[in-house]
Amino acid sequence: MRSILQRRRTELLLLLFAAALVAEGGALVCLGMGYPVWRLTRGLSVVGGIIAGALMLDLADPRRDRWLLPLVAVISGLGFLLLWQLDERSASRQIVWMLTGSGIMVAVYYLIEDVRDLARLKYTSGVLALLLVGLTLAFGVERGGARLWLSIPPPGLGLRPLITFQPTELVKVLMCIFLAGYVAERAELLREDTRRVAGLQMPRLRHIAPLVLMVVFSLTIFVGQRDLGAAVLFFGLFVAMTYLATGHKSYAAVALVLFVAGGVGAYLWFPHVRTRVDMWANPWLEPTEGGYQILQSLFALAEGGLLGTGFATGGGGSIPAATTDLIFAVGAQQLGLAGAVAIVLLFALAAHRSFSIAWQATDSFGALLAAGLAVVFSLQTLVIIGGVTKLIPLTGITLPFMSYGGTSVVVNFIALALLLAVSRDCIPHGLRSEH
Amino acid sequence: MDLTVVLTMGKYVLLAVLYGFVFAVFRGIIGQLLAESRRETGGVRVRRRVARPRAERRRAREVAADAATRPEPEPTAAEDRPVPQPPPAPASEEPMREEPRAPRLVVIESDDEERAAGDEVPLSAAVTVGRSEENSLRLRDRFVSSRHALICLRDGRRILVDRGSTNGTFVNGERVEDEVELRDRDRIAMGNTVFEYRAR
Repeated sequence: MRSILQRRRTELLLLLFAAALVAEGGALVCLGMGYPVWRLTRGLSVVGGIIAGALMLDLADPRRDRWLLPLVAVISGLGFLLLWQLDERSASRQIVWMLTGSGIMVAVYYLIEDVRDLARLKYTSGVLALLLVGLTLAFGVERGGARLWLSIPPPGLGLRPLITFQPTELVKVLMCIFLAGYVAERAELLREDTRRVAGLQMPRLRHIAPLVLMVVFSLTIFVGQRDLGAAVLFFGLFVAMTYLATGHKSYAAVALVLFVAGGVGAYLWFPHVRTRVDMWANPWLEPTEGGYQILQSLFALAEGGLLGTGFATGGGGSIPAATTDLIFAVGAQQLGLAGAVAIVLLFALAAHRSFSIAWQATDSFGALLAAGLAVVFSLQTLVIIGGVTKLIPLTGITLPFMSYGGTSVVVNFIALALLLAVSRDCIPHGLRSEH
Repeated sequence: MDLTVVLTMGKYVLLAVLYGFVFAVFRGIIGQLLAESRRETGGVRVRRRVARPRAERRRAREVAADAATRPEPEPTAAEDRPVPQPPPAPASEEPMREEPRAPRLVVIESDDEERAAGDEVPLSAAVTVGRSEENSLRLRDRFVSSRHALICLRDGRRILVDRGSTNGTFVNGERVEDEVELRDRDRIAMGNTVFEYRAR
């Protein structure tokens, strides 16, 4: 009992730490932007939602991971504070999404009594993922040059859209469930029933065919949808899952070759891919068009310098997509290299915890699910922060928990709930009463 | 006071708090990892000759004391949980222990022809035991249920869970009601099979 209290104490203290941090930042934003002080409650409500969630989850099982929620609280609190300076209306909406997300997290956590039950839903989620992608391709709404949005009811019927959301975000979690379930069931076959092809151990086609089909299908669609970030993400997820389940390095090697070949092919065949890469190689080719985003981002980083131009000054608002994909650049401008490094560290710690949960999971499905979610989280962070800092070509993808966006926030909370569900106990309750 | 001064000071405070938070989480995670690995090896740590900070030395002393208060292994089965022993001799006078090995089960008795006494079964983070093929440790024993038990690692402790087996799981002669934490050299009996648990 004492150890349980001690453990929860760590989490609650860290959450209070997070609340203090956001309160301080919120007070600065109120001062700097001239908002009335009572609006400070807005900033606090973001962290408050997560604290409330933590307290509710606490009653379920005191053994679950204690570091992720405080980390997420700080990351999303910081993201909110930046967003709040740039766009007040979006900020208000973001609060609603954050609170909804926290609520959904609690609901998902309780709904899944045993994570292994999700393994039975692997084909359902696989089909659902394909369906969502197909629907977006057919009825998607275009925003900003990419067809990523679904609206219900569909446009053209003369009705006001009730909900618009980005299916790609949801597909991430569905794909994790499908891949984890499929690979966990066939890990033995993928590992043992292999053939040597050109000196590399490869599994028989029939074991891997559904996986390859799934990946090829989703990749084609994402390239067709012009959503390169998602394409990279799903490819990485697929490779990581097969490697984790089998331990064969040849998978990773083949995947790397495929990735390079695919990259070269995409560069040659798809003009929008070529633009991205060319702008990465030299953004000054079109400083006011294709290269505008990356240049603005680089200017922001440079202006930020070591310690930043100042928090709560509304700086960085001129960067395109400042509230969503490029929020990291805004943070780096206002808080400088020091702040940027701190943000990266927060993400690194969260990724470490996610992988630790996978490592400590008791069954292969739970382990692979947690690992998949961890891979998605880290890849997303790497792709967008790498893009913003011009390490790799910039592709549009959200920074988890930090970017503005309803679907992204809610889905990230669902993923968080799944991770916590894997972490909570190594013995699911269902197993005990079985005869 | 000038607003810009307040904002600049505020920014530095924010950065400081941010790094404070990162440091707090980092230290906490490292501490947890160390505690887990310490429990995993049963309190035995390789002695280092490098000078260590006082806090760490104190912790190491506590660990050594903890390891020493741990009761001596009981080779006989059917013993109750050992009672704490009188204060131990200083750790330095103990004979050098052999290298810690991976946690495992040693077969003591078995009906299964493929499992002779003395065979060792390494334990991963989670091992399911039972008669059916889906188990990671399959026992061809008529008195073992198809899904008999689960031996897993939770917070660095090795836990045995009886999965509602018909004939029960016995640790040191006592039937496991729900779950029990395994100690080094516990005797585990399921059906006609007996294992000894070795933590190191």
